Amino acid sequence: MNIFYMIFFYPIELLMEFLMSHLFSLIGSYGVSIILTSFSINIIMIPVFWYAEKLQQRERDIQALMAPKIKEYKSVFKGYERHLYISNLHKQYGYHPVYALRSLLGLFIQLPFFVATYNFLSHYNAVAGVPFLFIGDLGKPDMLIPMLSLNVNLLPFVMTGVNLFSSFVYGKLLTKAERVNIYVIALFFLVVLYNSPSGLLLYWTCNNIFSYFKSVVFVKQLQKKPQSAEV
Amino acid sequence: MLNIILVFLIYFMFVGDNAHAYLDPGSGSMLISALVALVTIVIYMAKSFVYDKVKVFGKKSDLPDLHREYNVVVYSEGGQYWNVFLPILQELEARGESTMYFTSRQDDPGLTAEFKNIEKKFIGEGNAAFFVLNKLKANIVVMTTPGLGVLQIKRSKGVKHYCHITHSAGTCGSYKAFSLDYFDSVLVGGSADKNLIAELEGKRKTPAKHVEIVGCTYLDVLRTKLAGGSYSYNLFSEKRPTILISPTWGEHGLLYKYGKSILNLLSADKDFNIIVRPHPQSFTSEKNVMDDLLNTFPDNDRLKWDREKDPLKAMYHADIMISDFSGIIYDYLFLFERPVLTFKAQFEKRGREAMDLKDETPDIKLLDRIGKTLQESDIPELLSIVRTGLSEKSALAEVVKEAQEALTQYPGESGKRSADFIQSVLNSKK
Repeated sequence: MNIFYMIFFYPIELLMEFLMSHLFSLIGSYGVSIILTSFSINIIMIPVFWYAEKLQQRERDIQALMAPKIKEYKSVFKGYERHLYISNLHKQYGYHPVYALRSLLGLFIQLPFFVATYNFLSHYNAVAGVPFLFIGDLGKPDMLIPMLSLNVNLLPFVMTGVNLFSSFVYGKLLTKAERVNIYVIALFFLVVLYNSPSGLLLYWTCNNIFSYFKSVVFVKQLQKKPQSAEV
Repeated sequence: MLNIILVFLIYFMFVGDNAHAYLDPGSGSMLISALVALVTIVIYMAKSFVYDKVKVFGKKSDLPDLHREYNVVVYSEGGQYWNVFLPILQELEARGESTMYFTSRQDDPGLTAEFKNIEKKFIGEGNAAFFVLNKLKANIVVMTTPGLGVLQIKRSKGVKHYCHITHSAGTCGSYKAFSLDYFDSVLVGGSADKNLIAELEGKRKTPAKHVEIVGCTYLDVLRTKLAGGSYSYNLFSEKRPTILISPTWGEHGLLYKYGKSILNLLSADKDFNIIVRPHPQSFTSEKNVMDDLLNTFPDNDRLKWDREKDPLKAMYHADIMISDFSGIIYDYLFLFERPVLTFKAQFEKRGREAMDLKDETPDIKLLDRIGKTLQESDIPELLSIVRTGLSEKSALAEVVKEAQEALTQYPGESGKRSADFIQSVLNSKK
């Protein structure tokens, strides 16, 4: 496990620490440093995201091309016969179901960034007790909305709002079922990250804003006509 | 919903509760796609394994020598295709071409036919036959079975050339999808199939096959039979204009749908003789309907049920045919040049080659011109439609000529032309 951590997560954590400490020494604000680190990581990740998106889009395009014929074969063939006709359709499109694994590659490239960021910012003692704008302590949940005896955290909702808006833009590329899944995931992470330190939430909120602009560009690029092999 | 549950499960598996990673929309969608893909792949692999490895073997037969390199192999699914292969085998026999005839039916007349240069062997049905065919070594294999390389018969590495021969005067538009894609050549009746195959090749980007127009071999056998003069008008004691009702089987078949009303109407008119020739499958698939019709309209002086294997006798008697979408329409048209009234049956294109074609195939288009195409609302007027059809017989010649060009050229030459083609392939492989 340690070797796994050292290979996949630790280098990214080192990069984040490097960025945070150098940006802080330049600017003198941990809040701004978090925002700029989020921005820098996003910039570094653009080629990776783009490559992963393209792989996934290629998978979606070919699935969309084959979908009408698969639907047709499913409506008239059963069992083994159906399996053979769909297999041949795959063959004629130069496709194999194993190719769907291509979309996993993108995910595996990104996962270390998710985990490393969480690890780093959850345990980054330098931000403990440090205020930023209206946030009292970047090392703790913000508790910005006073409600009866409870103090409700504001940043998780801001993050989720940005995330839902970004999902809406990104959702143009997806099927209805995929869109629903994404909205559910956005709400799921509201719950999961609700009690996280506000520094981490600031990082992710910024990340989601950058992600939104990234989505706008990607959607425009990917919505350009996909290449098709008519069958 | 399943996807969402899977995402959550994987999320906790990967990340655990001490390291909550966050997924933005793009990554979330990627995770879902990956999971769906994984599940799909696992299901697909499992299916492939089960279908490929767990085989239930059919009737076993003595295996032919699979180490031998055959010259010409003709494979027949059974006796129903004997007339398709007979003219070719006769030609190959006359030319002294070493040929092996494999069949999947023990009652195939080919097994008892007398030839000098042609060996014959029953290789079993289903998986037993597929086993033999998939391991074969031969210069050329000729067969009517479609779906090579798609269904159970795969291209054997030991076979240098696969040739399909069509077995109906209709077109390949009614074949199931991908039927001919992996053959090296196809022997067809006329220009319609040649064009149709080229269109499918263009659309699917599959390699171009050699398509040779040879005519219809089985129609040539029927022509020879008719020319033998062994048929006479003897089903009825009195000769009257005769109507042959010859539908396909199943719920779309005209006897199933309108049998009673049509037979009521036609049998009430004393000007006609009527032959009812249901598809043999109807007596199994829709037995109750057939039993009811047989009881209500038994054989009499003007109505006969025909259940003979040979359709020629009934066709010989008939002056007009009433059918639906059945292959017998074109057999009757080309052999007798008499009109056919067709009930418009729903031709199910899904899963067939016709689905990938821009246009209707010529065999469907021509139906309107070889007689009238009818609907249920035409039934009350059926007798007058029949009379009109009979009076317009002479106008058919032009349509028959056109249909022949599209569907069955070179009458009487198909065996010779097929053998010429087979030998040209053999020569090119030397």
